[in-house]
Amino acid sequence: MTGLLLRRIASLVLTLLAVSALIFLVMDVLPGDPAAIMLGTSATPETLEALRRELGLDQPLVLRYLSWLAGVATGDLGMSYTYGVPVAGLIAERLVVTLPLAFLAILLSVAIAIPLGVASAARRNSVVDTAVGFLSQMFIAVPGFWVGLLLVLVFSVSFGWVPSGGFPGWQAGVLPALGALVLPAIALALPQAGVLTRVTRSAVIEVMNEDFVRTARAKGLPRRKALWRHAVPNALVPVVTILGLQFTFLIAGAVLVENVFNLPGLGRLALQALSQRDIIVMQDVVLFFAALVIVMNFLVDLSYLALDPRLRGRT
Amino acid sequence: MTQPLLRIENLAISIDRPDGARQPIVTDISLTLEAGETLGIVGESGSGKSLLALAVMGLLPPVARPTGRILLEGRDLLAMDDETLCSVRGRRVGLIFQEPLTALNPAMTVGDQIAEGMVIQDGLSWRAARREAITLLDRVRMPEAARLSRSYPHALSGGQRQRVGIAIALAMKPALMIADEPTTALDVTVQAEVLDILDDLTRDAGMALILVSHDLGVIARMCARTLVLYAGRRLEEGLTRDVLTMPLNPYTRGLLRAVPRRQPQDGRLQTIPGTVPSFAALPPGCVFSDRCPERIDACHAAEPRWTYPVPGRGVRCIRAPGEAMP
Ligand SMILES: Nc1ncnc2c1ncn2[C@@H]1O[C@H](COP(=O)(O)OP(=O)(O)OP(=O)(O)O)[C@@H](O)[C@H]1O
Ligand code: SF4
Ligand SMILES: [Mg+2]
Repeated sequence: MTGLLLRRIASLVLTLLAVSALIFLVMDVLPGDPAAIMLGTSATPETLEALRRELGLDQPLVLRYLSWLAGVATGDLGMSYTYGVPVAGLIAERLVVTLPLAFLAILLSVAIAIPLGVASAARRNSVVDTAVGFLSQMFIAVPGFWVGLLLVLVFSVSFGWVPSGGFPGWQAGVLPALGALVLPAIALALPQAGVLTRVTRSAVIEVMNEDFVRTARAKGLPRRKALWRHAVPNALVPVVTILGLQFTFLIAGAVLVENVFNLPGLGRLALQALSQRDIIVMQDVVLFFAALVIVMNFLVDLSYLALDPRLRGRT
Repeated sequence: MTQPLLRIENLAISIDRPDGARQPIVTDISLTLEAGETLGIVGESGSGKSLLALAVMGLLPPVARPTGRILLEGRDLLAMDDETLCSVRGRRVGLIFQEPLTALNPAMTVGDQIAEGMVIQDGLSWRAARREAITLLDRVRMPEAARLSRSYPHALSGGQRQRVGIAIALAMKPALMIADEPTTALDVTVQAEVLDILDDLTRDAGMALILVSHDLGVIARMCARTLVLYAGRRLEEGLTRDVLTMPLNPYTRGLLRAVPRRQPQDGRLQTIPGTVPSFAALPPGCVFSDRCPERIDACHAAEPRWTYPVPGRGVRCIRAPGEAMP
């Protein structure tokens, strides 16, 4: 099993390396000279050249890539061209918004999808099943940012329960901060929940026909207990797989939703950096997103070991 | 007369077909079983043995429609709501499944699967129930019971899994144990051992046993009484000794000729010619008439009645000896 873990970690590192090279290449071919954008239209060719040299932009591509990589490996992500501060600090500042937002969204989508999916599987072809099917279809079909706008209209503009956007910061207290994240998290979670509900339903329906569920019933377990104790745990592997795959969409969705709700998160940072050609920030943020997705998939693989004992003890 | 442990009266089971029609499968089953008695049910694949076993567990699939009465200790299982049935399942009647591989939950330790019923039904603590599970594993002759109780089904051999299946069914000391082809999926050498364990345990605990099998040899070894099933009908019933030495129905005689013996009379086994007809296309009259070597024209006229030629002996065949009082 340790052999398996080591192999997985090695492949994780290799993937990250490949991704970093790809990101660097794409950023390099992107049009727009950072030095020109920083100095504005009035800059002379001499000052431009000086700034380029200062930023290291006159070096060959491979050297620039390697020095970026070496920096990342030692925790030095470089200085932002536009903010003039270390990118590491910028990311850390934004992370306290984006991570809780993503975590809340995952939590919400699981909390919605598992009960709905199981209920709909347990009462197949009933009114409940039809209603859940309709609901999950809606969740999937309607874009998250539109749901976000709708939620803002209802809960902040009409009811005034939560702010319509912005983030007070965690120093303002946990509740106000969470309050600011609830609507964006719902907007992010609903499309995910729609897909997850369907996956849960079909996985549970398949497992419910297994012999061991009948064994559980033969012990005298009521239907509910047989369902939750025996069918659901064995249906979780496909659910977790989809959850891992959706994480990428969750990150992409976060970029949109943070802009709709005016949240100072990583997504906003990425978009601002893009519009200002702050290439170093973009590189770092995109690499960070990629690392997040890769690590998430690693965790999903690890969770299989917890969910399916048959995979343990093998290498 | 005291109340029998199990009394099945005119049980019939039909299946809802996808096209909406109802297909009768099991027809006209009546039998009684006293406490501690052993009954073997023999029949070819598809004769309705598993449906019968599941009906006595109250675990028929939703498409199955039973009629008649299944009285367990005087209470009709077919008239019970699911909550009441749950208190009967496991505690009064236990079931051992045919496939030890798929009958166990792959994501739960075998010890917990044995302990679970005792916790949920009898209110034992998990600690006490797990200890009891180890004792049960010992009783089904599991080597290293304490260690293996913490392992998952995939780590066990087929024979060991079936021992776990027996331990699960045994856990709440039911008065009636139903074993649906408990050894069909096992190697021959393991088969004998598992049957041995089952025999010992039910005998020690004074449990009644219904053993379902397509193998008359297994039933001859384990059961005092035998019921022969064909196309959902009982064709013959009686003490196993009598049924084997003096079969009254041609189908039973055919089954007997197909049992391997140490010294085969002519060196090879005979099989019953033909195959079991589908339920949608049964022959007119006697259901066995299309394969019966002793068929006469009258066999096609009407389905023969269930008769009692000798007390304690039942048969369905127009050529069987005349009826006596049951
Ligand atoms: N869930 C079901 N849906 C549809 N038909 C069924 C179902 N269960 C049983 N049947 C039908 O009922 C008949 C009897 O099935 P049953 O499983 O009781 O046979 P069996 O005697 O146990 O056979 P085997 O020796 O193969 O286990 C079969 O012909 C089958 O087509
Ligand atoms: S009734 Fe006729 S066909 Fe049926 S078993 Fe008896 S002899 Fe054979
Ligand atoms: Mg069967």
